[in-house]
Amino acid sequence: MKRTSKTRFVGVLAVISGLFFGSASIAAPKSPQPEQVAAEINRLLRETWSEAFTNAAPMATQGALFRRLSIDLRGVIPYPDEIDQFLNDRSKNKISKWSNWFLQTPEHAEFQAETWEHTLIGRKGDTDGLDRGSFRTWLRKSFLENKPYNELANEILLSAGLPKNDPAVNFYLRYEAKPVDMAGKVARVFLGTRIECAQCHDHPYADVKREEFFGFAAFFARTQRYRDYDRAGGNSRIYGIRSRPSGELTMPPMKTGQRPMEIQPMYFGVRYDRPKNYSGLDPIPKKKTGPSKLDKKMDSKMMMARKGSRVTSYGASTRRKGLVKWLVSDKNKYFARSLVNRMWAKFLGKGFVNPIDDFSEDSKIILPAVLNYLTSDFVESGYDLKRLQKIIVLTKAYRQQAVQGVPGGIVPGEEHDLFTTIPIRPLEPEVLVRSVLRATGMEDPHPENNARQVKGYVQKAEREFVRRFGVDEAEKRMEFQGTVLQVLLLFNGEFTSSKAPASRPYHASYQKKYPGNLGVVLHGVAPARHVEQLFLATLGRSPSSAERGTFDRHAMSARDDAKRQSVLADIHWALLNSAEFLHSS
Amino acid sequence: MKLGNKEAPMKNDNFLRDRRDFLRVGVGGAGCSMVLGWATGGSTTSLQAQDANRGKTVVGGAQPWQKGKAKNCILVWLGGGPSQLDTWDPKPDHANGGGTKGIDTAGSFQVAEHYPGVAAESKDVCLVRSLTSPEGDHSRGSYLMHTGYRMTGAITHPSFGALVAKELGKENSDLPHFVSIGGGSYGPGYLGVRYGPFQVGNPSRPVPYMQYPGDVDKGRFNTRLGLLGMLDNKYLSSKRGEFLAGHRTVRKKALRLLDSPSAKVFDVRKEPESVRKEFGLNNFGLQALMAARLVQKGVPFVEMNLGGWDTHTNNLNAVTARAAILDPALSGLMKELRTRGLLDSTLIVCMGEFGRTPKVNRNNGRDHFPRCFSALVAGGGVNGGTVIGSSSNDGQEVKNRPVYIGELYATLLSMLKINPVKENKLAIGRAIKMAESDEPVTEMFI
Repeated sequence: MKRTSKTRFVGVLAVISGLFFGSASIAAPKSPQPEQVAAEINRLLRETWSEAFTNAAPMATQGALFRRLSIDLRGVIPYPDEIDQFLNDRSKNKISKWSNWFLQTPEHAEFQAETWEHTLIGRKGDTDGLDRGSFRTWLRKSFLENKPYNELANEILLSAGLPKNDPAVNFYLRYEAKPVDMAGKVARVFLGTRIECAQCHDHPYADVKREEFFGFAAFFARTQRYRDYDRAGGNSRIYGIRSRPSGELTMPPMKTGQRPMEIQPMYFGVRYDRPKNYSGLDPIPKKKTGPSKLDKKMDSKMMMARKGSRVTSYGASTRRKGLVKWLVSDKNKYFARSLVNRMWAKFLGKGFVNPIDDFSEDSKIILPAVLNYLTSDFVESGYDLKRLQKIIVLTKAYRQQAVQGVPGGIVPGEEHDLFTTIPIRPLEPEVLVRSVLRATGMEDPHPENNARQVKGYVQKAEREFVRRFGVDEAEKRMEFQGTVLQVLLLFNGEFTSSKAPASRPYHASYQKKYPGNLGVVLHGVAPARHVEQLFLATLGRSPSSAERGTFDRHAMSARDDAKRQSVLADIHWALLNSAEFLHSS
Repeated sequence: MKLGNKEAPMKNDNFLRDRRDFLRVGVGGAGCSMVLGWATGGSTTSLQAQDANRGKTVVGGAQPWQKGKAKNCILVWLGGGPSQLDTWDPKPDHANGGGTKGIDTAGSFQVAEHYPGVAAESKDVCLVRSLTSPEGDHSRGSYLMHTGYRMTGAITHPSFGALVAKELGKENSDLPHFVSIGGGSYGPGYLGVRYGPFQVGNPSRPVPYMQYPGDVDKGRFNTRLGLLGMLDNKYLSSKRGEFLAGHRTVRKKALRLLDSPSAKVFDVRKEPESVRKEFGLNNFGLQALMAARLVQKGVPFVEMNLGGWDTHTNNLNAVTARAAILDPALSGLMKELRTRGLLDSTLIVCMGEFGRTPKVNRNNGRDHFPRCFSALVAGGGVNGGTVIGSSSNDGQEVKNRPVYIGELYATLLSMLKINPVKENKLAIGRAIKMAESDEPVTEMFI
């Protein structure tokens, strides 16, 4: 949906730009630049802050901001030479420039794919037929081409067939196509509401009745998982998603003696069969991924085997299509807003609505003006995800110093500091692995140099870190999540020991002097700058003068090469274990 | 009062009492969350004191949970869903018995012939033969049996071990509060990872990362800590806040564990063969020995794991082979704890995600069966030698005293002197009770 009505787009923008940039700008209205949108958000923020007699923390230092940008946009800490370039960049709009650059890297797409994989199907948990690999690849491709968010959602929600034809079906396969589970997840991810609780009882706070939850789930009543055999792949079992022409969802009774109740689809209390709720919208065209002849043949066989329910379609059911049409439309006020909230929270540490998937009619919204403004820009821009992220990193809220605690303080009545702080956050486990590997020179194993050994090492690091640090999205809380096992891994694991196999071949001579990953990190750096280089490679900053004193003295204490190696390894270890390295601040 | 299962019948005769309890819980619950609100991160002991006071001052008579005697708990998890008919509820006289005979025990019941060791220890064993659950799927069943709640997706409930770790873990202990041996346990859910399990993968290998790396000795490690201290002091003082305070606390704990002589408790593989033999000379036997040693050192919750119970085919062979591992480990564990005077204060629970079909299938196997199955509870002040509930002659139905999983959890927590209706506050503002039911099976321990 690259915006069906160009005229409306332009029209609204004319209004917006008229409002924001003075009525004098009658000249051809251009879509506002992200910088302009950010400026307007800053104005709204300043206004709110001054009304609440509060103010934001001071701006972050250039180095800190750059590290944060790299972590948030690319999912890994920056290289020392990038930091150098950034700090020496004198251009006025360098944040804008560098965020553009981060946003177009393949690492950004990969990071987005990883984040969305966790959001959609969780970090853990596998079900029959689920193919995380194809799902990740498809997501990565989507983010590389900056697929509009409504298209992305549409493709996921209307997915059907086998994962090899339509990798988006992995979303439904993860929930085994159980209507109740699919409905709960769809509501949570795409509407930002938690209605699953209403599965067992009426929602405690939001006004969701059990019947309404099952009514929502009834949209998925005719979506089912099927089993097939992969003829090309040794007849192994494969699973896909298809539709059946009939079938209703029944709501299990709460008490004995009651009968199960058949439930018709409804949108949160609004019956589905009232057409006015979703009319007037063009469906978003979907690429056809029809079944192959073989699929059809297999299907007819399976049909015979299956009593009762006849299978007619490998596409999405009419019912599901009806829901999705409404769900991803501009008329659905939750769809775009919940995404904006999710994105904002990813960068700012907390959302306009918290928890980020707890939107309801009466949920408390912090700074509703900013949320609404960002949302309408997001919709008008054609659901442009990269643009949204760029706007967020340009705001004053994002660019302030990270402190835990409060310059502005929790504003009474709001129970929120109105984004006058940006919290210090522990690195996500995958970000931490990549950062450790980068800071120890272990990423990208070069094929010519003990590549197999290095690859095995990298895989082990991923496994160990994610196992020890990974929590499922649902369990995430805004509090310290560290465990003794994590500390032990960082203290005593090989990943911080500077003893890892070297990853690149081009410093063979250097490696003799500084074997292992230390050689890679210090390659081409004069001994006098070794300490500095280790700081840059890990913390993304130069040592303070006090630190320089201590660490240089320690480095100089080495009498010979062997001793120097171990002394530098000690410094490297301390940096990799430091709270500053393990957090984004 | 909701029970662990939707089909739970209302108990009319309890209605009045329930109402009263409800009022009391309502008031006490509010008090409790207020305390939580004021003293976030405060010690659990003060909360426990509050709860204890609440029970005494508000009601007068002691609540069942206040009569709990156990201080530690060992969960022996049988992954895959063990057959009740070939373990604790044999049916030798029925076709559904599947060829397993029963043997007499020191208690008032028979167990399957494959368990002579457990039979001999049965004066401290209580069998529950009327467990009933709605979940016949491995992941959903494991979730329910590990947490006492059904899986909903909206929130992740803490596992049994995490609940106990939070309530009974002592801050000044060198060792973790929840140790999981052999994998397979569930996480801390909404309680946060600080109550999660300390994973000991394979008991026959050293615990990973408990030794300084390669060429680093204690002296050099201290040098490293000195450098680290300098970096952190600066960062932490400029950034204040709970996040980082938490970081510091956990690091201190790790250092204490590294330096602690108690950490040797994980080296059970080095104990003499004569000792290890008592538990069975295999990996699971080592798990049992480690569990005993951990409890001796005051670790409140240990989970052991023995898989391989998903016996869809050749059930009899499979359960016999499993029993040869489980029986010595379980009875060895009980003997060891009794010798050390710890059996009365250590609750042992042995169960899996569900039971298996009484009717033997075409492949001589048994399939998933949650409608009626068994668990073994031993030590920890249990009324030994007794049976709770029973199954019908063919094993297809609960005959009397159905025990829902919420009630099982209320019972187990009560036995550990933990108030099952105490609420934990969630980040999203809701409060959830420790157990879904507030009706412990009192005849099990009072």
